Amino acid sequence: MTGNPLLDKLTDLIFVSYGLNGTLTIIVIVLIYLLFHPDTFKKWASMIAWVGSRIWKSWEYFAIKTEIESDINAFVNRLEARTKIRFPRIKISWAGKNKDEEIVWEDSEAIIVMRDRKYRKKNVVHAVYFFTSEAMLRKSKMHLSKSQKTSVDLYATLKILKAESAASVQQFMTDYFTPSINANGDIRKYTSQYTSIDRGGIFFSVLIQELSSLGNKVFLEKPTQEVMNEVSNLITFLENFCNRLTGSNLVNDTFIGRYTRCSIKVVSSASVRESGNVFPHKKRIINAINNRLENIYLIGRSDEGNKAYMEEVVDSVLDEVPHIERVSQTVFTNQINIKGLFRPALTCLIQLHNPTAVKYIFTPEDTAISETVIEE
Amino acid sequence: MDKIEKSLKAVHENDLDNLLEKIGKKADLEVGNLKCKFCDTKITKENLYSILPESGTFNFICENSECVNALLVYLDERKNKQIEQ
Repeated sequence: MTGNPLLDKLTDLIFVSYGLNGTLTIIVIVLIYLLFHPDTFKKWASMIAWVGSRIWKSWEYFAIKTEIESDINAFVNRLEARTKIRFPRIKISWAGKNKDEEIVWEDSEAIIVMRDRKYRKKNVVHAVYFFTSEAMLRKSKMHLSKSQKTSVDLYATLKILKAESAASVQQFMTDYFTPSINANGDIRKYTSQYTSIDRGGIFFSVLIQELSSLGNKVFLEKPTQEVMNEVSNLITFLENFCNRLTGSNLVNDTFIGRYTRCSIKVVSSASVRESGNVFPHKKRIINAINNRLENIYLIGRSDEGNKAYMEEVVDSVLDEVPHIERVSQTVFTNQINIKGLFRPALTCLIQLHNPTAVKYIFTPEDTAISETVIEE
Repeated sequence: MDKIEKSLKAVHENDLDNLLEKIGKKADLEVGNLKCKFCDTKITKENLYSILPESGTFNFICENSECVNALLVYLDERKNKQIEQ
């Protein structure tokens, strides 16, 4: 018995079906798996519907809808586990499907055209790109320039398609990514920077996280160009951090803007770890908290010894500063620069959030933050 | 925490005639009177990407990547303005 009534019932069901025959057991196990993985269920349902739509044309609506919904929602589910941001899920609703149906037109609510089965990849690309821009990353792009917005949309869409619909990547590259980069030098420059940040494994978990935090802020007199410059500086800071030589202390690990303040603390030094002393890292993190940094990211190798040590460091910080929130802990494969060559590494990232440091409303006179002196 | 769900409105190309007829634009499309909001290209059933209702009228956007990017930035800026107001 597991103590969970639902799981206990399901376990009983497996045993009962096992008593009947092996095939039934497999079916029950598959059904249980799909029950707990609705997006996988939708992907399978979509595949079946695409086959069925060769005979029944009306199945095509269901196939398109479930394919796109499962692609985006599966990605969002995984993403939310790694950040503090809440992203919306997509639900496709058909307009004009029934002749007698009254269509409700909302101002500025665009309707996207979907094609038949010959253009399946194009449908996925159109919908994923549109939804990523219009709903998923809207808050993150609140104060960005046009080229910053478009470059973020393009790169995020590419990542979603690579993860969920690899067959559609080529279509996206041809239709949107390549033409947009060729037409605009700024988009090309930002994309190059995102590639470095993504190689470091922190495109969504740090960059989009920070842009989303910025999107929550209100400027009573909007300093548009200043914010765009700050975003540009943040991107360059993250690019430099991800390109740094492993073990080097020459690259800045803290970003102090007027509106965005974060730090990435490397917790991976073998000599300090092996001494079992958490104090040096704890001191660096508490200094960052005292300097009113909003988000502090701890990054280090994900081998058991180092991960446990990172957790000890976090626990010692939380013991001393209980108002700090431990937002997330993720393990991912990235590439780190070892003597000029990028090599794969298993990395652990822990995000701490300092809610008392967050300033939501900025008046024109607000310059206090930019004058803060940072002490290490 | 509750999941937020956002609706994306879509029209299947099989239903385009029906939809365009409802908004009184079917004949305009057939005679080539509809133009892309951003590049002024003639809109056809084959190159139509999106229909955008605005202040009681309808705008049409073609599949050109620059026009799709322009639409996304345009919608973003409109929504930001609405929030600021």
